[in-house]
Formats: sequence, C-alpha cells, structure tokens
Amino acid sequence: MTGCTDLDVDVLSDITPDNFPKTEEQLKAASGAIYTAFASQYGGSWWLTSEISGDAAILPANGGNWYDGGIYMQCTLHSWTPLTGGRPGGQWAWLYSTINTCNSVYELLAAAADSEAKETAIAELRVMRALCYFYLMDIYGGAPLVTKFGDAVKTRNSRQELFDFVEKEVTESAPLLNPENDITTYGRPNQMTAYTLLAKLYLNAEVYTGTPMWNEALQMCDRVMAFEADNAVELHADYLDMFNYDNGPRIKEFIFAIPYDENNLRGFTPSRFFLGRYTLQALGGYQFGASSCLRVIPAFYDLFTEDPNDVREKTFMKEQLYAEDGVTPLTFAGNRLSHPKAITFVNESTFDVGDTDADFYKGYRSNKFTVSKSQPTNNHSNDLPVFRYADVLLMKAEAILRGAAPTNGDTPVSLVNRVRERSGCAPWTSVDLNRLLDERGRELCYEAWRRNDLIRFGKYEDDFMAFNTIRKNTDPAYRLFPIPQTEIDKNPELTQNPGY
Amino acid sequence: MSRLLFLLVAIFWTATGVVLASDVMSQDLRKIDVMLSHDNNSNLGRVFQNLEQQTGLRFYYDKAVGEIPADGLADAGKVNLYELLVTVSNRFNLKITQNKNIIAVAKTRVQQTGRITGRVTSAEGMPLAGVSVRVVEIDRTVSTDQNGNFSINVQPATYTLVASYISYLSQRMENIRVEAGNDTPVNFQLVEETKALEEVVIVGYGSSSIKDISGSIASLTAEKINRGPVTSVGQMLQGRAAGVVITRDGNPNGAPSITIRGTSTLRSGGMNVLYVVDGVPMQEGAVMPAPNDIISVDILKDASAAAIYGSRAANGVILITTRQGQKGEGKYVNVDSWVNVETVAKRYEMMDADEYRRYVQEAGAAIAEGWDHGVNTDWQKEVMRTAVSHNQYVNLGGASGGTKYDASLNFLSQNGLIKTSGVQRINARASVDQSILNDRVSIGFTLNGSIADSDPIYNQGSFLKSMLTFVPTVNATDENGVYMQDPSRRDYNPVAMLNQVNIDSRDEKLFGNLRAKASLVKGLDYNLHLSYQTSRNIYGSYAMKDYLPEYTQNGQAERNTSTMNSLVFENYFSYNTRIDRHNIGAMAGYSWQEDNTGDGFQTTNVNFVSDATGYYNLNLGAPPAGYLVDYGDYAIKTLRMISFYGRVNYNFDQRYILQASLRRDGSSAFGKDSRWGFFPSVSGAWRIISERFMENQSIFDDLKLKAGWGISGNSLGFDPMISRLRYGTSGKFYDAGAFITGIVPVQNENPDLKWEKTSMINLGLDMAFFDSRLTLGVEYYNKLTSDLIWNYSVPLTEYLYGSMTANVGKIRNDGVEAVITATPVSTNTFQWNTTLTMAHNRNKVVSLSNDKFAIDNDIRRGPAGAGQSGGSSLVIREGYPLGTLFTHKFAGFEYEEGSTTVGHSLFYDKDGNITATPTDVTDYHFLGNTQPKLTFGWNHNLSYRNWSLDLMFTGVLGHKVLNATLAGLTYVSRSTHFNQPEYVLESGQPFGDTRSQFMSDRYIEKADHLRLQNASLAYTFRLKPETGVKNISVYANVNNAFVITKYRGIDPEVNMSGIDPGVDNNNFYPMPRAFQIGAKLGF
Repeated sequence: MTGCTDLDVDVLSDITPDNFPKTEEQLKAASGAIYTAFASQYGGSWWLTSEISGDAAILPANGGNWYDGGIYMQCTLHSWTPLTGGRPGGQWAWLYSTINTCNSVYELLAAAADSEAKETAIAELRVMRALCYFYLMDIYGGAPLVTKFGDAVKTRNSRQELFDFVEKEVTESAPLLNPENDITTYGRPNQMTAYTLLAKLYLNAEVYTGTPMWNEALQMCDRVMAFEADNAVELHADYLDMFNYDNGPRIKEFIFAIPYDENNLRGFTPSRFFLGRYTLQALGGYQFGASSCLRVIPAFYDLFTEDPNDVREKTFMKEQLYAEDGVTPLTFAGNRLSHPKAITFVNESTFDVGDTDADFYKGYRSNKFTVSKSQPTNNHSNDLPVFRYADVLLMKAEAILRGAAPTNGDTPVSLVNRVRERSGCAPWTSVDLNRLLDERGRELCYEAWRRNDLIRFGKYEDDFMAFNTIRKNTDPAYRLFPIPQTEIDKNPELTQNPGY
Repeated sequence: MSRLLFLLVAIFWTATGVVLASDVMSQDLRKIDVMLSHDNNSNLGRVFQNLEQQTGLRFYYDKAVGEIPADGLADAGKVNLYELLVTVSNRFNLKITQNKNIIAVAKTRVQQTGRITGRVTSAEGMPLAGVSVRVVEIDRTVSTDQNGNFSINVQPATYTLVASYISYLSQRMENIRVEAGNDTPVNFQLVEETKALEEVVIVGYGSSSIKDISGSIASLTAEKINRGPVTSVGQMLQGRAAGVVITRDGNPNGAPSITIRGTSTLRSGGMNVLYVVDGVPMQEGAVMPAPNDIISVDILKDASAAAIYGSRAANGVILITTRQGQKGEGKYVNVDSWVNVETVAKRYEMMDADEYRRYVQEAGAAIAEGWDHGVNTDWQKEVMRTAVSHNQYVNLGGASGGTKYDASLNFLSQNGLIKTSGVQRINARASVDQSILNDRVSIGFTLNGSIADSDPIYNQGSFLKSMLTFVPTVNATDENGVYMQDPSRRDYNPVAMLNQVNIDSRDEKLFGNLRAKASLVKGLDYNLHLSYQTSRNIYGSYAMKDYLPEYTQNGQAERNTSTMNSLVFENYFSYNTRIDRHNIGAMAGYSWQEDNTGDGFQTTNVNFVSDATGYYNLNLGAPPAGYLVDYGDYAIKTLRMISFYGRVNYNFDQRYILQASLRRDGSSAFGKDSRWGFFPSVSGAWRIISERFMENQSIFDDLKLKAGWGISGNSLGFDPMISRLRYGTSGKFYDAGAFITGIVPVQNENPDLKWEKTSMINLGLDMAFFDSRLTLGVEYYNKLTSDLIWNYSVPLTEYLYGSMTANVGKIRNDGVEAVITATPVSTNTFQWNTTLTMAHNRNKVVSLSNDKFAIDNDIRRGPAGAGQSGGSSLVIREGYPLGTLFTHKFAGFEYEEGSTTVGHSLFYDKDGNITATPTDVTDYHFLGNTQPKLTFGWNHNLSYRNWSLDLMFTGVLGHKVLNATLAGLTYVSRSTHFNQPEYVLESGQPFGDTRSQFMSDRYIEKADHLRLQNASLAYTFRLKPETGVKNISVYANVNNAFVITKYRGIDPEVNMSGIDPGVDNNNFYPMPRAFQIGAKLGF
C-alpha cells in the first residue's frame, strides 16, 4: 500500500547532495568553482569598468548603440549612481559570489581527511577569498565580512577591518602555499601571489586606512624578488610576446594570471571592444566579429611617445592599418581602414561619436592582447595577469620614492630602468612619482590596475577629456563606488557610502 | 398515464363526435386489464377476438371495421380495457357502445379530415426511413417510408408532432394547424445524438446533464467548433467560449496560446491549460486527436468544476471527447478532403527602392557603399509565397453485436507563407470497444499515433527582421551568385538566410489508452484507464559554409533528439441512485502518473568540406583544435504524481443541486515538506424554473442560479528537480595544463516549495426565453492566486545560489462573461442561429513580496530598443495588472536649426519636462496596459434548404499593443543600410535621429479589432438511400476574411498570454488569409 503514495523518484541526471562531493576528484571540481567564479568577471565587467573609469579608454555611443542608458558615459564622467547596473555596481555580486563559493567549498574541504594537499588547498582558498575582500575594500570600502557559509552578516565591516582580515589571512596562508611558479601552480595562488597581494595592500594602506605602510610594502616586494634567484620569476624578455594569445605558464613573469581560454574559460574580450568592425574581415581568417566601441584616450596614447624605441607603443592600432605583411594597406568595401586619433562627438550629451562606418573607426585602439584566428567567439585565449613581476619592481620603486628604506642595493631608478630597458627604452637617470605613474601607465596599461594607481596618486579626478566640454565629476567621494541599490533593497542594513 | 388519456378523451369528445357509452357498467370495464401481444393484433378484428377470449365480453362489428389495420396497438402490452377502447375509438374514428357484456363497434358518421404530410431528413439533408412521427394530442404514431415521407389523417385541430429516431435527438413541432380537406406540410430535420452533446456535459471522471451543472463549463460540440483549415485544438476553439482567450500567428509550426479567465501565474512554463483526452490527462506536447475525430470539447473554467483535477487545474481544463464507434447496429465511412490556399493577409509597408533612395538623398546622406545596384527588390515578395496545403481524412466505424469500432487516418500537408516553412503530419487512430457479460462490462482501447515532419525557420526572429530591413536597392546575389550581405553591419540577406540552412524537426508520437467499465451492482460502476503516451523529437540543422548571421564555422551542423513519456493509471468508482425525488451520485478514485522528460542528447560539429551532406554525416566535419561539442541541455527527469479524489452530487427534485469534490494531490516535484495538498470545491444550483411558483409564468423557459467555490493548483511546467539543491557545471578551471569542469551549486533547496494555489468564486445565471429560442447565460468570477512562484534573489552570504525559487506573490483576476444564443428565424426551410460570447477580465498583481522574500524593485519586462540596454517597456508591480506599460513618453520631434529633415526625438522626463536624452527607467511613465476590456466571438449559422452558412466573428476591444516591431524597424540612424517603413516618409521623423527606435508611447497603439475569422458555406446533396451514400457535402471557407482595425502592425492579434502580454516584437510570422474548399462524404 505504501507504493500507492510513494513520491520518491530516482534522480538519474542531476548532481545532488546525495551523490556529491564524495571523492578527491569531486573536491577538486568543487574547489575549481572558486577560480571559475573569479574569472567570470575579472576580465570582463571588472576589466572594462576599471579601465573606462580611469584615463586610458573611453566607450562612447554610436547613435543609439552603446548608449545603454549612459552607463559607460557615467564611468568616464564619474557620474554613476547606486542605480547604475552592471558597472560599477555588478562587482559586488561577483565578489560575494566568489567569496561564497570559497566559504561553501571550505566546508567541504574541512570535512575531508587531513593531508598536505588539503592544507595547500585550504591556503589557496583563503588567499582567493582574501583577494576578493581586497577588491571589495578597494572598490566599495567597507563590506560585510562573511567567513563562514550560512552566516547572515548583514552590516558592513569597516574598511580597516577588511584590511586587517586580508593581511591576517594572507600572512597566515603564505607559508602553506606552493613555492613553485610553473604549470602545476598556474592559475592558482602560490607564495609569490600572497606576497604580491600583501605588497599591493601595504602600498595602498594610506588610501585604505589612512596609515602609510611603505616599508611593509617594500618588504613584501623583496619577498617576491627573492624568488628570482630560484628562476621562479623573471622579466619576460619580449614584452609583446607576453600578451600574445599563446601566453601561459611559459611566461615566468606572471605571478598570478587568469588562464582564459577561447573555448574552455571564456570571459576576456578586449578585442571585441577595441578592434575595428571591418578590420578582422579585412585581415581575413578570423571567426568572430568586433564591436569597435572602445577607444584609447588620446592623452593616454601620448604617454607612449616618450621614447621612440618603446616597443610598448606597437600595441596600438592607429591611423592607416596594414595587412600582416606590414605594407599592404587594409581596405574594406573600397575604403581604406584607418583609425584617426581624435575622438569627436556629434552629440556630447549622449557621448555620441556618430553612427557611420567612419565614426566607428574614430580613436586609436589597443591590440596588446593579440588574438588567434581560431578564436570561435569574441572570447580570448590570452591569459590576463593579475600580478606580474614588472609591477612588483615598480611597486618597490614607488615604496622607496615614498619613503621606504632601500634594500638590496635597489634604487627607484634602477628598478624602473629594469622595466624600461626590457621594452627597448633608454634608461632614465632619475625618477619622480609623476614619471613613475606614467611608466606604470605604459607598462601595465589595460591590465585593470589603472584605477587603483590613479587613486593612490591622487589623480583619479583629473580631467583628461580635452576633447569634450562636459566636465568630469571631481568629488573624491567617488573614489569608492556606491553600494548597488539592488543590494541595499535585498539587505536594508547595508549603509550607502557617503556622497551618494 | 390513464388520467391523461381520459382527459384527452374528455377534451376531444365533442370535437370528434366519437362516443363511448358511459353508462354505469363502464365502471366495470375500468376494472379489467388485458394483454395485447405483438403478433395477433394485425387488424381490429383480431384485436377484438383476442379481447373476447380474455374478457368474455362479446364484440359486435362489421367486416369493414374488423379489417382496419391496428397500427400502433401492437406494443400496448398490459392495458386497462376501458382505456384501450377509448384509444381505439379515438384513433380509428369508431363509436363504441356497451350493453352489459356486449360491445358494439361501428364507424362514426364520416367527417371530413385533414392531413399532415411531411419528410424527415438528417441535418445533412438525407431522408431518414423508419422515423416515428407521433401526433401527441391523439397519441397516434406513424413511420416514415424509404424516402423519409409520412402522412397522417387527423381531424381539423391544432396539433403537436414529435419525430423520434434511434441515435437522433427527438424533435418537437408545436401549433400545427390542420384544416379540413387540406394537407399541412411539416418537415423534420433530425440531429444525430452524438452531434448534439450539448445535453450531456463531460465533467471529469463522469458526465452530467447540462441542466444539472453547477460550475462553469463551456461545452462545444463538433458543430460548434471552428471550421476552415483547422489543425489544432486552439484554432478550433478561438472565439467560441467566453473567457477563453486564444491567440496565434500564421506560423504553421506555431502553437496557439490559450488563457482561460486571465493569467494567474508568473512562470512561463505554467501558462498552459491541462488537456484531458477521453479521460486521460495529456502530457504537454503529446499527440492530439485529428480535428475530425473530436466530437466534443468541454472547458472547465471555474475552480468548482476544475478542482477535481487538483494541482494542475488552475489554468482551466480542456476535456476532449473523441468518436469511439456508434451505438446500435450499422457501419459508416466518412471522408473529408480539403485544399487550402493561403495568401499574405497584410504585409509591412517598407520603402521601395525609389522611396528609399530619395529618402536617404533628401537627408543629405548616401546609401552605404556598394549597397545600391540600381534595382528594386521587394524582399517580402522574395521570401514569401502563396502557400497551398491540403488535408485528407478517412474514417470508418460501426457496431455489431457488443462491439463498436472506429478508425481514422488523417494526412495534413501544410505550407507556410514563408518559403521553406511548413509541416507534414500523419495522424492515425483506432478504437475498439467490446461489451461482455450482458453488457455489464465493457473493455476497449484506443491507439493514436502521429508523425510530423516540420520545417521551421532557422533563426526566425533575425530572419523576419532581415526580411523587412534589408535594403531594397541590392540584388539577392552578385554576378557570381554569391549572396549580398554584410555581417559586420548585421545586414543579412533574407533569401540567403532561408536558402543557406537545412533544418528539419520530426515528431513521432504515440498514445495508447486501455479502458474498462464494469457495472458491479445497480448504480455502481467501476472505471479504469491505463494509458501510455510517448513523444520523440528528432532535430537536425545545418548552416552552410556561407551562412553568415551566426559566424558559423565553415559549415555548422547540429543534431539532437529527445523523448518523453507518461504512464497514467486512473481508476474510480461511481455510484448513482434515485430515492423518490432525491438523486444522489458519488465518485471516488485514485490516480498514479509518472512522466519522464528530457531524455535525449545533442551533438554538433563544424568545418565541413562540403555542404552537400548537411547534417546527415557529422563525421565529415573537421573541428579545429579545442572545438567544444555543444551537448545541449538534456537530462532525464522523472515526475510522479499521485492523487486521491472524490465527488458527491445531490439533486432534489430537479430543483436544488449540490456538488462537492475533494482531491488530494501529491507530486515529487515539490519541496519535501510540501508534497501533498488538498483541493476542495463546493457548488450549488437552484433551478428556479422547476419551482411550483414558476408553473404559471410564461416568460422563462429556463431559469437557473448557480454558485461555486473551489481551490485548484498550478504545478504545470515545472522542472521536476525544482525544489532540490542541485549542482551543475560552472565552466572550467585550469589545472596543471588542462581544463577541468568545475561543479557549483546551481539551485537552492526549498523544502517548502509547492504549487501555486488558485481559489475561485463563480456565480452564474442561466435563462431561456421564447421557447428557448433565446438563452442568456451570465457568470461572474473572482479568482485569487496565491503562493505564486518566482525566482527571488537572495544574498549569497547565506545561500549557496543567488536566487531562490519560492511561493510568495498573489494575483487576482475577476470578470464577467456572457453567452447569448438566439434562433431569430426558424422555418421549415430557413434557420438562423446565432451565438455571442463576451468576456471582460480584470487582472491585478496583488503582491510580490512577503516577510522572507522580496522583489528588489519592480519586475521590469518587455523589449527595449537599440541603445537601451537594460531598458524595458513593461512592469510588474504590486497593485497594477500584468501588461502595464511603463516606458518613455514621446514628446514629438525637434529639427536642427535651419533643417527640415535632420533632428531627433523628444521625450518627457519624469518631471514632465521635455528632453532629448531621457534616462531609461528613471524617466519612464505609466502608459496604460495591454489587457483588453472585452473579448468577444459572434457566430452565425444560417441554413436554407441544402445550404448552410457559418460566420464567425471575433474581436477585442479596449486594448493596447506595444508595437515593438515597428519601433525596431524605425531605426533611422541606420537608414544608410537598413530599410525603413514607408510611414516614416510622412511622419515627420527626422533623419539621423538616434532615438527613433526607443520604446515609447509613440509605438503604443490601440489594437481594437473585429475579424471575420471564418466564413464557411456548405451545400449538402440529398441522395436516395439506395445509392448507399449517406451524405455528400461540399464546402468553401475563407479564414481571416478581413480585420477591421487601426493597428499598424501586421495583425492586432498579439499573444495575450504570459506575463508580457500585448507585445508585438519582431517575431511576428505573417498572418495568412486562407481560402479552403473541401468535400465530405458519408457512407
């Protein structure tokens, strides 16, 4: 008779708590979700938001296209509101989603049998979680510190508390991480990742907590530089090659990178935004289309004319475009394809540069992340470094310039020149903070750090829109993005950042 | 009976002069009963001899009297002698006198009589032989001859005639005046019982007489469903039942959407009605009977009627009854064959090449480089056609002994207006029933299978748009035969989009139902249904090497297949008894159902060396390194539903009717703490017409008041895994040189998740006047749906997944429905019947939040224009109906200084100030809603001799449609390479306007309309029975003959179901105007 009322059906095709996760392989699959979650927006929404709220790129409208309620315009003009959707508001959900994945995976790992692998896996998880809190602190200021799955932490912890948490978690985890920097650790945090993250934390400590920590920043850079002796890290000899679509574990300069893949790990799409709409067709053989909407701000390009031998200048697509042979001018439908430097609006109020084919070509483009012809969609195979060694050298230079005690015979100018010489530039004889910021711009452009640098250098509010009459909002309160209104609606105990 | 006869005798005593002696002794005659047996009463002489033997009385009569044939006395059986003699005297004009034990019978003096003559035919005009025609007043019956003719001699008077015939409905003719010496013609046209099922309503686990119904049920017989090239159940019902709103477009592969009494769910999968075919609940997408096999459709609209179907009944239940052989002896063959020609009813008027060139030039611009070949191409003409379809139907059946059977074969070949689109479907069905054990038990089964080969349109939305926007100034191909198109501008050639793709979808479906019914004891029946349904779809598509719209990789093939099946076991006992004036009925049953869905797989490949093999040989593809096969989203899911149900009926004296039902449903799909639920209903009716105080009134022929309440549920369209914590792939992560699939939670667990609950009150009044030639039915309903299911975003700090499927909101629908039927004219040769159905529904979202879950803001829905990413045009908000328009408010145009052609659109901002740069959402205004005030269907059926004409009008009043299609087409800033609608030339629309395509009230239009949905003319040939042909009729139909509307889109009939009703958005397959001719033969 019980069969008459039995509603328990067999589950044949779903993974449920009844059958997952049970094995080591399943635990790995579960923890892998942390990296997938982090990668999901790092090279997409976050990359674009951080770039267009800085001084290096602009995303104007083409007629009605790419206006999208003004969300891109707001990034440029610093006029975003708590209602502005995916950018900059969307980073909150992305980071908490990743943190939450970390917290839930932590429960699974903690329940597994003790082993060295488990210890390392937990340390990696804690650093990834700390990295997310680092970004929350950097982008939004204070945020609820949720460290255990299911904890309903509703109110925001202070920026200082997040700072302390990141410092503690990373410091504790660092010795438990893998010291190697090779294919076995690629895409996951190793010891250098932890120290670089701490260097970033300390270098920006004045911004985050009001208390500078230059010496601590320098010490962390030294920890990383110590690995150079083991050949675990180096400056990659060929700057342009470093960002090619076939980059990966072979680039020893990458300390922590997101291993994007055109098929397997999608989410990094700069060429979709930057490249001219007919350029790929004219070059021939490419499988995907481009939107041609993201442009290099002219003044930013000018940084690259400082040294005529700077190979980093070759990352730009500018003026007349040429075929792969470098001499045949590219044409499309009888017209020569060329990007003029100037970005001129036909309607400033809507950031509209016009809707004709010529309008779509306005502005220089960055082709730093050169793509493969096999790429089936606009997702790249180029890996996007989060931390790389040149940044560490420049950070140490900056720490000394700002007052840290020099170590190991390194001087600001010697460190900066190591980076410059790799790109064929003439060495400098001296360096100051302004020149260092420009060098950071040249070296690290379109690697999602420009916003962080500009804030630290107090230049985030500088107006670089010489071609526009609308002025940018200069309120320093906008160094923090607003808490998205959708999150406040879900959790009314979240307080909004001042100034919004 | 005897009292009545005596009364009749008394009345006609003087009129006829017939005398029966009524002295004291006649009292003795009243005490004598006699038996008249069948075989020895051929004439009156034999009758009298017989009576003499039984009674000892002596009969005196002359020879002429004795030879009078004793028509109609044969079946008298046991009768009272006195009454028998009265009958004999009356019927044969005899004077009967009694003197003690001698009865004298003599002819009365001859009086001049009149004669009633006539013919009885079937509804199709075939003469019917052997029909009994009874003259009520004198209780005299004659039979029709082979030609259906009859005649009766009667005294001059006014009579009532009744014609009755087995398996036909009896017909009554009143006030027939007969004059002496004259013939009075009276012709009958009888309707077959099976076609006249309006008297019997299928109610779910049983049937009922329509006068005993206390809930809201629309009952439609085959005669009352739509004609024309009807290929689906939805089409059959459009406009026929009040409150049943059906919309469809012209796509031969599309399915009409049906909404009964307003939308009461937010889930896209939960909008469908439950179909029950011959007692078996059908799985979505399961095989449906061919339209010709359907003999009736009953729609359970309110909860008191539908609650017996429990957790699946909230959207209403459509019960379909198919032909399953005929009662009685005989066999039949029916053939129906039609051809249908479809033309485009209305096209979008886009600019032609000259207009387009002039338009671009006058604005001082130029057509995109290489995009003017000096030609004028009409792309709509290039891709559309006059579509010819045909349908062949053969049916045979009959009955013999205790066996009845019916089988049919239907073949449909339907072409769509858009070249390459169409469907070919074969539907076969066989049904056999066998009675055994003296008809106490019957066992039967039905097998129904169909195979449909569809040719849908690949990438349909994009195709329909390209058909309109591709510029008219280019040729389809260049001189090398290469299609002209420019993918980087998204200028896709519509001809290429059709021709560079192979796409096929094949559906194979089978339905088997074993049924048994046993009469256990008097009044107690047991019913059993065991049914199995299975459907398989096999799909293949190939986009050729040159197909551009989706960046195909040098030839892209996809194949998939999926199967679903359903096993249903239903059994119930029913009991009916009558004690004095109390009618009592009870029913109790149990059902068990298990559905499996999504069992299938998919595979893809790319980079083919040749287009020749299409998707047939995936092995020929050479995918590049790293290519990922798209395995699709196929996973087998099992859903089990178990129910216990019961119903009691009580009917006192045909006056007071009460009914109550209760169903307990369990479903494996719901949260482990909420798997079982109760669905009760109560209803009652008061048949005022049967009250004693109504006996003396002559206004009403029927008057009935009814009221009902019930709770039903909506668990349709759920993923059976909806309530569980589930893990799924999260994409891949890097692990030592390889990519490994990460696994993450993709759904939170909700142990409390359950069905959406609808509680509905229904009040109704049925009236009939003028001998029921005018009837009026009015109903009011109020339904509140609670526990609405929606995905609520939840903080990831507490939940494994960012959204939670939960029961939270409430929606109310209330409304009024009216059905008026009338027979304004009814003569022997001409009959006009008309039916008007009307419905008004009011919809309101009552709440979307509770203590635990809340909507972040409003739910914003609906399309937005290019450049409005994140924009919307509809809003779901508490206190507002679904379909509330919330978008920009248009404020006209502003031209650049000195220009009359260049400028931009203006809008009102949130404060009412005019702006050229409105902000999406912030500056939106409430601009009415898309739900209609009134929907109606108006049917006329006219028959004159052998002709019959059926006209079906449908219409909608008081509704707005968001013409997003037109907004999308009006994209003038792209006009250098996108064609624009012709109206732009006259609209003052400035050139270069980057917001012409923004959604605004500029594109919100009144879509009131009146459509002649169908005009159908039929002629029936009358043939002599000896030809062996029962009937032949030929017919012609026009479907969608005309639409009267001011709406600017292709058709004002825009999908009204779902949570985005009334949006016409770029996916509008053109509506055809169809001309059909056909013939039906019956043997």
